[in-house]
Amino acid sequence: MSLLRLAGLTKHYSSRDLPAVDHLTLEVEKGEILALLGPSGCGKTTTLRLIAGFERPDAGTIEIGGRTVADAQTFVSPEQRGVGMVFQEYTLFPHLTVEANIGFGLRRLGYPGRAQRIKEMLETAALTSLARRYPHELSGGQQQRAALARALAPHPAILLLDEPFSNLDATLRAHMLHEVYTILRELGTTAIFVTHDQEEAFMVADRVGVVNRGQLEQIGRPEEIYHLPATPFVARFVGKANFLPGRVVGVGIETEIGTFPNTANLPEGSMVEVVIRPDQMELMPDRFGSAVVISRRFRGADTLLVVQFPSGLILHSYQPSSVMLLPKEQVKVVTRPTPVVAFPAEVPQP
Amino acid sequence: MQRRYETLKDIWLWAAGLVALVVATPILVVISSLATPSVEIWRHLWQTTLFEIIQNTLALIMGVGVGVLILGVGLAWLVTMYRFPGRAMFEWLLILPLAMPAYVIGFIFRAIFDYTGPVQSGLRGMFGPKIWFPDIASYGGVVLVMTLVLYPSVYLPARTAFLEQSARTLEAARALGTTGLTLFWKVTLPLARPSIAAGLAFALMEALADFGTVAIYGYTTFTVAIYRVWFGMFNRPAATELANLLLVLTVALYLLEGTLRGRARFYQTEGSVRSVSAKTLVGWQAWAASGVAGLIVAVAFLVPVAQLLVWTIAGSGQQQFDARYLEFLVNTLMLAGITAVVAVGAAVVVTYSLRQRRNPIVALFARIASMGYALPGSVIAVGVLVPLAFFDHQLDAVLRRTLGVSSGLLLTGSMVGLVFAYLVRFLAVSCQTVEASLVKITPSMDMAGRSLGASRGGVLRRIHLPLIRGGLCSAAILVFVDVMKEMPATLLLRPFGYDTLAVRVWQLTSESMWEAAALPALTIVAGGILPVLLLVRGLRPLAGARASVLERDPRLQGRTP
Repeated sequence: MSLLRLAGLTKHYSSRDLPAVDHLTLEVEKGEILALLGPSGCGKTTTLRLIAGFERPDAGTIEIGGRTVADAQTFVSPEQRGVGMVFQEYTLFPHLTVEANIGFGLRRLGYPGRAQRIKEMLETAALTSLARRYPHELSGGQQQRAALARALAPHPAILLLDEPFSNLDATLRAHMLHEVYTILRELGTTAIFVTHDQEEAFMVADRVGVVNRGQLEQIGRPEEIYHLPATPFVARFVGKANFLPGRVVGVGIETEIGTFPNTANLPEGSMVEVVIRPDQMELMPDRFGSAVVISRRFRGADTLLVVQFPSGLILHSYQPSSVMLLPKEQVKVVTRPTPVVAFPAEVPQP
Repeated sequence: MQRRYETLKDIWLWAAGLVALVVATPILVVISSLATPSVEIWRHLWQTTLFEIIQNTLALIMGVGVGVLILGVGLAWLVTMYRFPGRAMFEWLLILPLAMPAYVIGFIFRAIFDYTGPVQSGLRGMFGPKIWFPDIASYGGVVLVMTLVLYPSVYLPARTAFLEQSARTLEAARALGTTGLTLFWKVTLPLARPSIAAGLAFALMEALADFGTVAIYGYTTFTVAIYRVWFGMFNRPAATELANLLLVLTVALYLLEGTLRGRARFYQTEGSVRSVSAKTLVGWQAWAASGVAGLIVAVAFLVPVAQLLVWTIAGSGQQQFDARYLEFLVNTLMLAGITAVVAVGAAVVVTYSLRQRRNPIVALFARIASMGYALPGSVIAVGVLVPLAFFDHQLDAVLRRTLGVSSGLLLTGSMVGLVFAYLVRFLAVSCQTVEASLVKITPSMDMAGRSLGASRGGVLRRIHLPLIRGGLCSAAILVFVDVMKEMPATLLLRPFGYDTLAVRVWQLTSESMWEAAALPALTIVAGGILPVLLLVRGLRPLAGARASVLERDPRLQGRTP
């Protein structure tokens, strides 16, 4: 029994434009953390707003905990959905102290219950000593935790987080990522968070949904998303990917750097593209190698090497910094993609 | 269809639509009566005074226009581009005349410069009875008086515009070898044009709407003519026709402003950007600059206020204290207070509802309703009367049919009518101020509140209202003071025998009882200083203590959807 169920969810902002959300269907289990990953403007934030009740869907249904909150006949207003929300800019109420912010959604509890719950949440978010402060007296990370505590205080059925880490600098971000993850896990919260950063999505989420042009391209565990991208878009957006043109011949896919097994059962004779991650290939100096290094960029932990084949094909490869290949050097390229991912070619080959 | 149903259920939208519609009605009434002119009345007006009225009104606008442009732009240029003794002080002292209604300074000047006044009497005493002196109760007098109180509405935006440019553009222009007056004509003035045009249009609309000054000076313009045919001849249709023509003039000004502004937008940033390129004046030039600024402040504010004080003190010493003063004061405060509360409440309903959902019909009515500020009080009075009388007659008819009693004219000529007219005229003021503070609150505040279980009303009450408290107070003060000063609509619509301070000033000054009018006039000026203080506070942001939560929280600044 899933806690949240979206079916055929569609939303147009204006009748001329493409839909912001286009027949989106997905389910979230109780206690699960789902990340919606996609480029800006892909419709992931609109999806959150639809779930929270700030937008009305044009078509489709939303069920939370078995209750239909939006369909053609029903529209439950946001305050009655039991959905918590954390925003990119936190939006703590500036005229209220931290504890009053946390207590904002606890009106229905009587005084003792409210005080008790505020105390619990302050402890969970490690804010007890800052309870009487105003939001502008807090650091970015503290504001983040306060916003999280505020959203979680009324026991929401589901928590929605809209780009919650994008306002933080890199160091603080990694730290907060861990803290938020710990709090959510500790409380067994069901959560959906929206991000354009795959690293964030992979680190926090049980499952990742990749959204593009309002549609769910793929949903699955982070490893699946990375290693078995379902569409060329996912392959390109999640991690870097080389697209190696080839042709299906017999049991394999013939390409310029070798033959790969046709695991996807693509039709015989068709033109395809094999996905090769930059970290899935080895470059070996070889005077008779077919490729030549055309550029080298030091990146710290690894080095980005760009190699070119006689046909003009260009591949990007990450190599350990210890690999000392220089531009103009002839190399031999060995790839070992496991498993092999291939798609029908997007553009017809000449 | 689902969507339409949702819209119909939206109680906020209904409330906002209702407010906007009610306020827009009188305006629509006046506009619609433009389509059905009465030939009879026009023929009569044409044969009698129409030509004089039009000529006088146009001449007034031209004269005041030139006057406020010279004073407003000139003084703004002086305080932004030069350093001279007392500059910082004059920068805000020069706004003070804004506190002075034209009719107050008008009657003071009349009293001082009239044939029997101290100046002419003094001159006659010195040089004999044949000495010539210009007649203050003339075209020139009216233009002088209006220019002196209306120039700040050009001075303020021009000053802001000059300040905003100075650092960037002026230095660039100077680096290219442009200096002095060339700089002013070629760079500064064209850049400031949109701001100046907006200020000028505002000043001219005020001049068009003025009744008190022109009446005291016996200078017949539209407002005076409307008052005369309304009360003198009890000819309301003729008053309506005149109001229509005045409306046409106002709309023409409105359009002219749009043209002058061009496509540029008028904006006013708060806080002061110090002009780095200000030139320090020395020697006689410095003293001349201080002298000019000081003269304007003295003539337009200090001397009139001093005169009012002298008269008030003298009057109270001679037991001439107007026994009904307290009554006028209470009436005025009550009217202004009620209107301020109603106008701010209506503004909150309209702006908050439109923030929720931009319904094009409600937005249109709100836009029409905000035109009220451009309309002269006399025009609005006429427009308010028609729907009120209609309502009264309907109610009366219904009550007679059903209960057999007559309600008479329930609303017409009551305080309700008066507050209604004020609301039409000043809703735009409160709406603008409330909206300006509301847009500073990011929409995700609303979402945060809703997702924590607060209804839309709850979000307004628990989040928005506490956050925009300062804006609500400013809006209330602005409306309050505008109502205090308002004269023509009050004269036309007040309940019989219900006099306010402005009405009292009118009654006394129309009988040349200057001294007696001093106390009520002084009270109005004292009230008028409040919005000036708000403005000054905007010019020089105060640190710490008085700053509101909104100003303290940097994340709320300038974050608009």
